[in-house]
Amino acid sequence: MKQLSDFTQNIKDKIELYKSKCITDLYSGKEYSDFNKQNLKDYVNYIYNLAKQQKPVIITTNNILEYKIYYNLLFNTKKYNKVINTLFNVKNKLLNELGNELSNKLRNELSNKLRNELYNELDNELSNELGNELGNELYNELDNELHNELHNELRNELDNELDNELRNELDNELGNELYNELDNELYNELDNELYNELGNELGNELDNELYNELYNELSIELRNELKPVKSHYIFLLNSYSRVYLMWYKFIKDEFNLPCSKTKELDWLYNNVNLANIARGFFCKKVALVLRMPSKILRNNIGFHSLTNEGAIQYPNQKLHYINGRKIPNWVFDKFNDNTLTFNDFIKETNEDIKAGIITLIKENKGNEVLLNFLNAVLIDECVLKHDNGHIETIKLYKTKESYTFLRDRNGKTNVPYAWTEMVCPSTGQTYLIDTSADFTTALESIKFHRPKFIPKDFSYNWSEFTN
Amino acid sequence: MKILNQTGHQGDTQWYAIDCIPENAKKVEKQFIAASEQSGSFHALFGVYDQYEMEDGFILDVKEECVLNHSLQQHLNGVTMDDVKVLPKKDHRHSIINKGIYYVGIQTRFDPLSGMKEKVRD
Repeated sequence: MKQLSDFTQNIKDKIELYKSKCITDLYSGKEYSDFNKQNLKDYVNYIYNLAKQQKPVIITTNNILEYKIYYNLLFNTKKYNKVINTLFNVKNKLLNELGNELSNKLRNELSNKLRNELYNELDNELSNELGNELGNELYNELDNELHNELHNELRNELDNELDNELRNELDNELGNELYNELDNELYNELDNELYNELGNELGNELDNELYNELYNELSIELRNELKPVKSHYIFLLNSYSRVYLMWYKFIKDEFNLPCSKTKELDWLYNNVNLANIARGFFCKKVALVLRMPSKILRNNIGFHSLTNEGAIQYPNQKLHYINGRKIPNWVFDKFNDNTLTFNDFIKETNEDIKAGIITLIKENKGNEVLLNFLNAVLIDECVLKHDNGHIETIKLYKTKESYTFLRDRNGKTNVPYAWTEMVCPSTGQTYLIDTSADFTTALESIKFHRPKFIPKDFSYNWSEFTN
Repeated sequence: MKILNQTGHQGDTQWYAIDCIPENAKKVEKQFIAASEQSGSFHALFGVYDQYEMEDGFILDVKEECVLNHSLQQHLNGVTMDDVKVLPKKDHRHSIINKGIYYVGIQTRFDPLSGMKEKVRD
């Protein structure tokens, strides 16, 4: 049993190296640009083999839109069933008979045709064209009667089966041999130092955002063409996998623990980054794989970028975040075109998006420009020290002009816009909350923003937590 | 009923310790205190407590130490709100809620067009 005393400074110093290997090239974009598809295929084949499955036909997608299109072609239509089945047979059973040449030819053909479809405006005509072209060469090879049967086989999701088998083959043994060798103190220390941060960044935050983006409703133009897609979570085949493998690799190597799965663990750890897998849909005969983003920008709160390049980037898509909060593209597009207006800000009803607009202007152009944008002046500023130790700065702003269509809480019309500024202690995001124009102090206004149940003269003082 | 203190806030959910359950509070099933319209996140309490509904908020009669999570619905697989469990955080750290009775409400904004106060939205 390894104790906390075995966790020497020399071993501690290596933590940063392991963590850096997980994310540095991924976040910088090097991993995406150095990608070699064969590495991904080798990795998926290895996992299927580990789970006692035959090799699937592997379709790699380079971005989220491509994944949605390929998913639709493969799983929401039946027209590629025979092609996939043929490729699967070639890959697994008939390889010797037909030879690698034919296998490559068929695989390239499918890949090219699908790629053509992607870049051809998605109209129905093209999908017919594609079906016809493929039909001549491949459809005749198989009997039509097999059609439905193949479709079922193709859609035979393997998430549970793969997960169970992989957990039997690898996870349980690693857990027993390595994890159980750590005493509680050492485990907690490693959990804090090595695992938590990256487990959260890749297994929670990145995986969530990609999951949401894949499931997001498609834009109006695409909604008629594409149906919703599925993907699933498998601990060795998604963005989290490298963190999982790093955890055991670190324990095994740095504490010199014997492990019957050394060969497998080493191979997977050495190849997981090269595989560059973010999510996927893994079936008996076919694996549809989404690659990792081409670049990821973060700050210590979460995904974060104040430029137009996006915080999570794919070559044809950027997802914007400020301090971990998702911000719609129109905010950045308008800001960068200098067409973002006070009206856009006023019309927005979501406080996180409003806060994103404020932060974008404030951080890129400074407070003076923000006040110009709002046509506002600072009325009052107040620093509060709460009983729980939290120090909070609140501000009250009002526009210079009054507007006939606005009213304050007393019903008086022709008043300015007014905002109470507060900063979220967890995210650091600045919020401007619409307030009543009659307030003259920030404290008075922030008390007013408490739930209606709370009397306005009740002391504003957080006693236990501010998260 | 007396408000004892302004206990804490997690994002836009605000907690106030009170000395008893108000008479007009109606007991309800455990449910989210708030859920985001945009991100799929929620604020919810996990552990042993009773939940009551009030106009503009909830009363929570916390029987023993509970965990207030801000997380995503996909992390609820296999977890019930009876479990004292820290879930992966979305934006706000989890908070420990001590035994006691609390009023929980959402921060409000003032709409200068309607002249009305309303809950903030995220």
